Amino acid sequence: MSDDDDCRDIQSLLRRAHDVPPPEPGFVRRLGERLARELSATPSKSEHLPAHTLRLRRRLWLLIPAAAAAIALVAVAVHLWPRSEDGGAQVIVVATALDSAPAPVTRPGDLPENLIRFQVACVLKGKLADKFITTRTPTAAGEFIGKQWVLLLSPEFMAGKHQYADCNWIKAEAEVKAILSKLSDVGSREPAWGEPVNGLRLGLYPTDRKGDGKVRLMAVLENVSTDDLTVNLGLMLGNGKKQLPTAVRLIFTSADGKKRILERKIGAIAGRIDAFGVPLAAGCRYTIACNLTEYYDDALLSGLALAPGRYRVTAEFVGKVPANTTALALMYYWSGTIESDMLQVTLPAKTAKQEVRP
Amino acid sequence: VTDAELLRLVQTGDAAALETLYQRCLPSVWRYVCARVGGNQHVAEDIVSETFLAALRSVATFVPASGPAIAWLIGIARHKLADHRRAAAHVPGAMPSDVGRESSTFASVDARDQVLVVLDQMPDEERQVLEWKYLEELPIAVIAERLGRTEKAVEALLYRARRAFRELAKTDVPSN
Repeated sequence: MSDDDDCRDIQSLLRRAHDVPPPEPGFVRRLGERLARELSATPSKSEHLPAHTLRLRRRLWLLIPAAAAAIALVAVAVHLWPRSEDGGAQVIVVATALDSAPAPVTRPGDLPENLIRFQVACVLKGKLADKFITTRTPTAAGEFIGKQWVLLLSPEFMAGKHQYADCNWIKAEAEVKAILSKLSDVGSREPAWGEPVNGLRLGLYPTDRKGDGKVRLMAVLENVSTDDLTVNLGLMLGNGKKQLPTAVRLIFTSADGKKRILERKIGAIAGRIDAFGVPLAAGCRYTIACNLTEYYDDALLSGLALAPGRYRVTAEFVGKVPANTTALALMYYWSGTIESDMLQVTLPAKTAKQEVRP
Repeated sequence: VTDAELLRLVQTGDAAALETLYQRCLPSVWRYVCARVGGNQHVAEDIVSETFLAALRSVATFVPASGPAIAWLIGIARHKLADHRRAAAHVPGAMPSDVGRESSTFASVDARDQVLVVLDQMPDEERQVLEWKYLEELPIAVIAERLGRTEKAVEALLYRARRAFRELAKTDVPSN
C-alpha cells in the first residue's frame, strides 16, 4: 500500500468513526456566551479589572498595614504611656474634634493658639465624667476639626493646671472603620441556621453589601446531605426572565408577640409559568436576597408597613413538587418545610418600610 | 498564535483569546465527545459544556510544558465522559448514551467503536494531529502554528501518528 493509499484509508476510517452531527449553532452560541460570562465573573482575573477598581483594591491593601499601624499606635499609647515615670497620662480618651476658637493670649508676643473642643467617644484609660473636653494647641484648628483623636491627658491637665494635651490623630480612622465594618459584615454572614430536614437547611442573615447603611436580609438554602437535591423556589415568568422565590417567606414577630407573615409579591401574570427549580449539589448553598419592598403581608393585602421597633424574624421555605409538566417539573424535587433560626432586627423609624438593622 | 499562548491569555482574563480558543477547539472536543456517546447530541452538549466550563475554571492549572492545549481539553472531556458513564450506570432506567446508532449497521458500529478504541490508545498529540489532518483537513502550516512547532516537526509527528494508528489497528480495525 502506497503512502497516499495509507492516508486515504486512515482518513476513511476516521471519518466513519467520527460520523457525528455538527453541534447546533444555538448551542455553540449559548456556550460561547456562557464562557464569556464566566470569564468576566472570575475574580482571580485582576489584570482585567477596570483601572479604578484596581486602584481601590491596591489602596485597600495599603490601608490594612496603615490601619494596623494606627491600632498599634493606640495600643502602644495605652500600654506604654502610663508606665513612664514622668508625664504619664492619667486619662486616655478617643474624642472627636467638634469646633475651635482662638485662645486668649497668655503673654504678649506669644504665637496665636487655638482652643479645640472635643466630644469624648470612649475612655481607654482612667476615669472621665465629662462628655466634652477642651484643649489648647498652637496647631491650626482646621487640622483637628471633624477627625477622631486619641488624647493623652496628663495629671496636670486633669487638675486644671493647663489645657495642653498630647493629641494623636487616628490617621486611618476612616480606613479602620471601613475595615472593621467589613470584618463585622463578614462575621455576620454566617446565617442563623434552622434544623435540617431531609438534608436541607435554611439560614438567614442581615448584610450591608451595598455599603449604604441599609441592611438587607439574605435567606440561604444549604444542602447538608451527601446527595444532590433540586429545590423548587417558586415560579419563573417569561422563560426565566422573571424569577420569583415565592416558596420563601419571612415571619416577623414584634416585641408584643404579634406575627406578620410576609410573602413575595407576584404581580400580574400573563403567559406560561415555569417552576423555579434550582439544583443544589451536595454541600452547595443558594442565597436569596430578600428585599422587603418586594414582600407583602398576605393577611392585610398590603405592603410591609411594619411599625418601627425590634423584631424577631425567621425565614420559612416550603418545598413543593411543581404542578406543571415542563421538563423542570420532572426533576426529583425536595419537598417539606424548613425554617431558619431566629434573627433579631430593628426597623428604624424613618424608613421602616424597607430598612432593617441587625 | 498557538493554542497554548491563547490559553495563557485566557489565564489573564482575555475574552478575545477565549473566543478564538473556543472556536478553534470546539470542533475537536465536540467530535471527540459526540463520537463517544454514539452521536447523542443532547448528551454531547452537556458533556462539552461541562468540559469547557471546567477548563475555564481550572485554566490557571494549565502548564504549557505538559502538552498542547487541545490535549489538555480532551483530557478534561475524557474525565467528563467517564463521569457521565458512571452517573448513567447508577440511574435506573437511564437511556444508554449511544442512542442514535440505529441508522448504522451492526458491522459499521463495530468498526467505528474499534477505531475509537484505537484512537483512545494513542498519545493525545498524535491522535489530535491525525484528526486535524484527516478530519478537519487543516494544512500542515496551520497545525504547526497551533502546536507551536515547525512544519517539519508536524510532518514527523504525523508520520509517527499514522504508523502508531496502523500498528494499533492491525488486529482490531478491518481495512477499508
